[in-house]
Amino acid sequence: MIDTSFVLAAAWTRGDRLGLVGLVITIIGFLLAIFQLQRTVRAAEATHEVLVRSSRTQMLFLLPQFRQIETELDYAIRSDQGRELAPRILASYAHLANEVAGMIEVYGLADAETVTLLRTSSRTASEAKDQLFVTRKKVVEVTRVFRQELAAVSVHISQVMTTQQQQVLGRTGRTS
Amino acid sequence: MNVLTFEQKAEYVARLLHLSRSGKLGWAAVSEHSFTVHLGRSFVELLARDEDDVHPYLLQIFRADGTLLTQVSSEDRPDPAAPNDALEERFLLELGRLYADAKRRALRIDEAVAEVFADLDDLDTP
Repeated sequence: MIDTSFVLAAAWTRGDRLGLVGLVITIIGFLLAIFQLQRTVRAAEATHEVLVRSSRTQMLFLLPQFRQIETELDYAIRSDQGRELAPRILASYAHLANEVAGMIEVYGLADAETVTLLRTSSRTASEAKDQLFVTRKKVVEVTRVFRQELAAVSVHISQVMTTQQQQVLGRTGRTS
Repeated sequence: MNVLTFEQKAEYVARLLHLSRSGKLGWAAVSEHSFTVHLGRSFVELLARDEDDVHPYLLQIFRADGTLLTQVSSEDRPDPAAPNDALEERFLLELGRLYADAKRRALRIDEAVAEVFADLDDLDTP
């Protein structure tokens, strides 16, 4: 029986052999590219996971500040220095609310309603701060709407905090 | 050191607002919440301290060589020995208006709005 592959190979020209080598190199190149692509995708997924985890941890440090701001504003309202204290408290809140809303949006850490509440209350805080300068109304009056919104935010933030604590503790295996 | 009295600060802001609204000041943006204008032998920078476009505003007045001469702020108040509620109210109102006018001119907001409507006009043309 004649070995056909030997006959065919014997009939190959130098150009045919070079073509075969080129084909093999191309296939290996494709395989390497696919392998590298898979590694890149896995690395990107891992990076995203790390970012989400670190943002959850960061949120756990930021969220208690909402309670602190509420307490400070209550103090400012009762204090003789309320007009001096309140603008800084309101400015801090406006920045904090925007920062947390941004993190929630980017990493999907809570629902859209929480983000809307945070953004709205941030604007209201800035408006109240403005009013403290241009009107002679009392701090308690100027901050009335803001305090109502802050109460609503606090409810949502408590829920977000519970969820984030569960997520962070669950990931580190410290479920209790 | 208080270079200007409260009354002088109020007058400075009022005159700056008048010039700005007359289009005589070439405001430029330093950032989204900070604007500057050269006035000849001096220049000023006006900014929203908390970067939120509302009070408190800070107006810093510099000499031409860049040294800070003095600053005017939403937190400035008349001398407690001679309170002047009307002047204080006007000062705060005008400082806010000056910031709004400076921002509108520095960021060319009116031109941008005109372009947006011009686009609609173009599309509406049969």
